[in-house]
Amino acid sequence: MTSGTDSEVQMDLILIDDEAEFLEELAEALKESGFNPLNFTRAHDAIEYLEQAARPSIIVTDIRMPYMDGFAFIDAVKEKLLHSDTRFIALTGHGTQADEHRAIASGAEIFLRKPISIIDIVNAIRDIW
Amino acid sequence: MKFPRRTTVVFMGILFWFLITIGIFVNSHVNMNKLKESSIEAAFLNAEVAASLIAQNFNQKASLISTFIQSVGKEFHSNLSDAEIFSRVRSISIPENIIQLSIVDRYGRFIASNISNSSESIDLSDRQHIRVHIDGISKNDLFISQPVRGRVSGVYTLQFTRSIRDDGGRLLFVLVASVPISDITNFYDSLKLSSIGIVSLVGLDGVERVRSGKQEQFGLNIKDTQKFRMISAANFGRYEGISYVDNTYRFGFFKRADNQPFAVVVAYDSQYVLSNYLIFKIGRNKSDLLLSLLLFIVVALAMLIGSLALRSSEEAALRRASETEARVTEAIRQLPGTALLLIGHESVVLADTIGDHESLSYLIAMIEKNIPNYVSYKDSSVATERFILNGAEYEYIFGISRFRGEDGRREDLPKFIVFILDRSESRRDEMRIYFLSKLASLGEIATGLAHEINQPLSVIKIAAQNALAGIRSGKDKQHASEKLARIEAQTVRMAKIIDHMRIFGRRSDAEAAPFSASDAVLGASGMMASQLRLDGIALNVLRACEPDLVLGWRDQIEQVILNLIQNGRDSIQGRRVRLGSDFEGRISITCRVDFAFIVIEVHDNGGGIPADVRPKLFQPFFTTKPAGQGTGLGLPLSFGIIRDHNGTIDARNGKAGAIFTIRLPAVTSSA
Repeated sequence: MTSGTDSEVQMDLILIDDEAEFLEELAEALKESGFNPLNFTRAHDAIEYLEQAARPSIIVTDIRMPYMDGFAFIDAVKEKLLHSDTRFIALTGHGTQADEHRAIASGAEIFLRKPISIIDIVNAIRDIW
Repeated sequence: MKFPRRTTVVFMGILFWFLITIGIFVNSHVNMNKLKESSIEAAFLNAEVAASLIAQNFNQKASLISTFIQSVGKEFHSNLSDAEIFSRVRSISIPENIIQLSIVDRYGRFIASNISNSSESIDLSDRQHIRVHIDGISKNDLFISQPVRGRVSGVYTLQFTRSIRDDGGRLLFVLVASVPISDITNFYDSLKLSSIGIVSLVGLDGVERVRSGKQEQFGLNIKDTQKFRMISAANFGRYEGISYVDNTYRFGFFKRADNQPFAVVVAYDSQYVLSNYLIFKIGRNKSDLLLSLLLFIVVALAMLIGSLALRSSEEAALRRASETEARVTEAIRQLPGTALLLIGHESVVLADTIGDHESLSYLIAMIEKNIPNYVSYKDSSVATERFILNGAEYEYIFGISRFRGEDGRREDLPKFIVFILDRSESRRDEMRIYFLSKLASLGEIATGLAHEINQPLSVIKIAAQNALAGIRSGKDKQHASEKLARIEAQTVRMAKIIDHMRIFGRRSDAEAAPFSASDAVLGASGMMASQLRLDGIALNVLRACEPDLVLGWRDQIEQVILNLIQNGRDSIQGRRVRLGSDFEGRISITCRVDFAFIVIEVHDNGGGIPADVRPKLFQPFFTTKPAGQGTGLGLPLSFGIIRDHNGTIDARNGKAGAIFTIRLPAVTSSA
């Protein structure tokens, strides 16, 4: 379905943010960089998708979201053991140190502070692809 | 016909004198019993006021400490080293009344406090105030320990403890705030009760935490006493009997703290109560007037027989009466900020130590006017009145008791006795604390604001980058103009957030003025009417209430009602998405007078507030609306405004949807 530009492994790229316009712009930018991301505005929907996904994903998730926040989402995915090599990149609007520690502790590999640059997110994704 | 013999006259005289004397003794005895009853009643009432005050003060203290610990808890997580924990604890600014803030790990091992870190490992896991958290008995609640004597300082402290848990409910730390007992007893002392009785803070676990008044002795377990069974069985009540502390008979009142498992007991020495016939004169002088008139005739007769003893004993009784009256007024004079008032066909202030007579007269007029409301069903009650006079804020608590011992048919007798306690100073202190906490939450607001502003900024940044990339790669104008339109829309959103913030922080410069609550309702609904018509939502303003004057700022109340209408509309629209667009939306606003309050209610049929949302309803930046639609400031802003108006706002669910209730203190038009 999706492939990174310089990768042999088949992975999905999933974007989660409650801000629909942000998602739209981010997806557009990532498509221009050769990715084919899947967008979700609610973490629940992403979990639903992941439960039937055939392969592991790289997930870029916002931390502060209503209903289910990024931490809870990462925990839920880990708990359900959905593809052990799923990787996480966490985004936050206003990251406190504690938030960053927590994101890393919960298993996100990269932590980016909003507002992000396209180049930063592209590099981050390529780093762990 | 014979004149009676001299011996017969003497005999009749003696008989008459004898009967009168018995009569006086009987009357006096009956009167004394009535007096005793009234004095005890006054003591109960007084204790009720005091216990309510103290319970309120304690609640406030405990919740401030609890909130402090909770917010501090966010600073710690399990990946920190002991040294990091120590430096964090040291960097926290700690309220003055907490002499030590310690952090203990999940096994009960002391890690660090703001004073010291653990050079040696101290195991505290056997302490009850740590144990309750380890064992999970006290989930996330505040636990208040038995009094502990400091090893070095020798100061007695209570340990306020709370668990810090992760999202899965696993214990990470226990935070311990040590508060010296004097911090609590200082308040007792300020009420000047301890010289005449005992003030005690009793845990519902049966252990007395703090006591003031008798010998300093803390931590007594009174679980097995009759008293404790009484305290644990009811939320409040009268307290009477022999004290377990010193075998003194006491009269008083106990009241549970609203939010914590503690009760406050105020118990006066019976000797003090009975020796200060607080209401002596009231029961005595008027009814005795008749008696003394009768006596005068009798005495005149008796004088014929030459009985001077009778008259001298009457004089003694009157002298005793006035002496006792002096003692009463003296007793009140020793209690600062109090007054004793009699209300009959006219009001008499028996004694007062309230400096501000203007506010006292204002209060008395208010009490006289409303007295049937205060004591309509019962013989006594405790009430609070707050008002603003000449720009200053006043709060009085008072106990009103229907006058006992008289049948109420006589117009010239006082009907009520009122004991008044001036709380204006502490009310102003509370308001200062409120504004301080408002300042403290500014930090939280700043964090939230940064996040809120960052959201549109993120959209703008990427949209701008996409636009640039599009131009460089030769995409059409349409692409760039879509991006620019999106960027513009996001700046509008940012402006809206900032605009909301401006109102949020505002303290109106203009002085509070009386205005019609109905006008504010009509003003707000007028602003929304055409918009709601377009949205297909019916708006009903159901009759204006009368009288409806409240004190404050009309534009602010309009803002609150506007927010509530908008919330109602948003939830109706949310429901339409689920139920179909033909769902008929309805918002109605009612206004009514509930005794001293104007009550405004905003009802919608949007389905109500989900249970998990309710606790966060008034929290800044919490919103359930889609991103970009709600700032999450409407309700916290409304909460702040209503609080500034000395009112309350709360939410509940009705049959069809949410009901928001605003209660504002009514002002009389003459004010």
